Amino acid sequence: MKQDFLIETYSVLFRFEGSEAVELRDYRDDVPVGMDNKPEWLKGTHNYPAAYVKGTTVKVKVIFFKQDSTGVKCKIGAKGNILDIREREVILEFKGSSGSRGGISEPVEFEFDGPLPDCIGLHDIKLSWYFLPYRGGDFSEKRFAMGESRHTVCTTWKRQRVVPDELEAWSYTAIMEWTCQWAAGKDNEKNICDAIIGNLYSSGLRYGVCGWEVRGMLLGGGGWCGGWAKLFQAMANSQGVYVHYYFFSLEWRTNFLGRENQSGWCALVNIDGGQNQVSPTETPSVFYDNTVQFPVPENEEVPIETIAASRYRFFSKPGSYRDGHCINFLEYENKLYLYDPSFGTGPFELDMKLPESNPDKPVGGEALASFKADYLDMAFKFLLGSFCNGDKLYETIAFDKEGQLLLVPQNGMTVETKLIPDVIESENGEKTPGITLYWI
Amino acid sequence: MNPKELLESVFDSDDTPRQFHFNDIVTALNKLGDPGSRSRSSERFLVKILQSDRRIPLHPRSSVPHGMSPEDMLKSLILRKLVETDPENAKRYRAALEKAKEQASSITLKRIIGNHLKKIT
Repeated sequence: MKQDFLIETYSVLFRFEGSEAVELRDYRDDVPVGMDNKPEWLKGTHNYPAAYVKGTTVKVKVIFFKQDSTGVKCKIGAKGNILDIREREVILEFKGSSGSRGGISEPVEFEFDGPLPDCIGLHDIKLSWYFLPYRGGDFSEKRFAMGESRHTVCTTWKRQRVVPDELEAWSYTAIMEWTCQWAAGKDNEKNICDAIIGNLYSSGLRYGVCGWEVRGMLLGGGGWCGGWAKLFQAMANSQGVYVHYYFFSLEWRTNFLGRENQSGWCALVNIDGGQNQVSPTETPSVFYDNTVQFPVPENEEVPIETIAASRYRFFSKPGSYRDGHCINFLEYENKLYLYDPSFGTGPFELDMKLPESNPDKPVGGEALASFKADYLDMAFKFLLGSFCNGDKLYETIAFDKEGQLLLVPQNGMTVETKLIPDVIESENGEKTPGITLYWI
Repeated sequence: MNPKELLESVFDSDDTPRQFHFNDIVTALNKLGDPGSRSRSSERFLVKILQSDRRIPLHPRSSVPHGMSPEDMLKSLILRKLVETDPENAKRYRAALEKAKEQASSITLKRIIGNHLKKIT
């Protein structure tokens, strides 16, 4: 270690047994930062952030280095750009490895001279360490420099929540730094979530690449919706805000609207690329768009636009759920807000209650009215089905006889979502939900 | 390669992993789990996959599910085969389902397993 001072600051530990620091993990090795084996700041080696709930008064444990092993009685403190370290009297002993002349001290506990800012934020804290040696019966008035340490300290809105099967009380460092920066100064759940969804793109992570877990997404640079909804949930939780995670999958109904060979609905179709993607990453296929009228009355025809395009298709399967889309819900002040982190959209205020998760029972019709009008019509411009237009059947063929999803599914009719009524009434007065889906 | 051999090479082989297409694995699973032709031995193998934490080595051009990982999607399909077709028989695998729920990384899969566990209680 290069020695610039008589006694030098060697390491600063924020998270230790009994400290108020929030647990952070480095996503590269998935190991917690802090505690005995990984001080947040180790001179010339590494510098990890630390995190606390806003307004916390921070304690740190500091180790010092001295080139010889002579013990020292002194006062130590630090001047900071935001807060100072409260000066305290210590007796330092220095122990080194055998054969070395100098050594390091035992950890010494210090306290900042006031609480951290009482708001969400990301703080660049610089500390200039000094000591006042004890000489001739008194402490010197002259301060001797011990070097500088620089720390990124995150202040969160609240402490993270533990939710069985969903969330744990720690965050990855990258997530904590992002959310503290994006939601700086925000002071309620909704504003925090709005700030996160509005800044998510600046993470650089992309939709449409393989990744279904938070760490996998951070390592791999992005993921699919299952990963994005988990990531958004983890980001909100880094500020102590709970958002629900939901998966929805269209119900694929055969003999739809009483007509043989018709199916509604086979796939959600999205024409947008998603986070940090210019266009969908799927292989282009031919679509037959109906943007005029739905349902098409029997023996009548509407113009169909044929278009070859890259679009995401999330296929269902007859009789049960299969693939679908993942989103998040925030309950705030008796209102329900939907966030779609995969496509960076939201909040959508919905006039409905939090759906019941039930993989066995699809819901539809009026129960989905607000979800459809306020979100689905915008988020998924088309739904794919099998429908007749005059004499011609536009048939979706997604599975072979063995139930295998085809490598190149054939598109039937893509109907503009907003054309689909909540409830479709047939000529004989029978009512059918326009769309039904599974919430899980 | 028959369905069991294919699934064994995905989940049970110590050889240098080949790369697979997700659709081929699903097809093999559908065949092996078909209630009409399913044997006790194939059922035990499905339960073994359910508890496996092995990652499927997928071909870069393989299709993938979006809402959950290929491994979790496969497990959700096995659950349908095991539980929905014969809930009474599935009671024998309660411990395996609980372990699979604990291991699952997808929240969706955890909820699906939780729902199945309720059915076989």
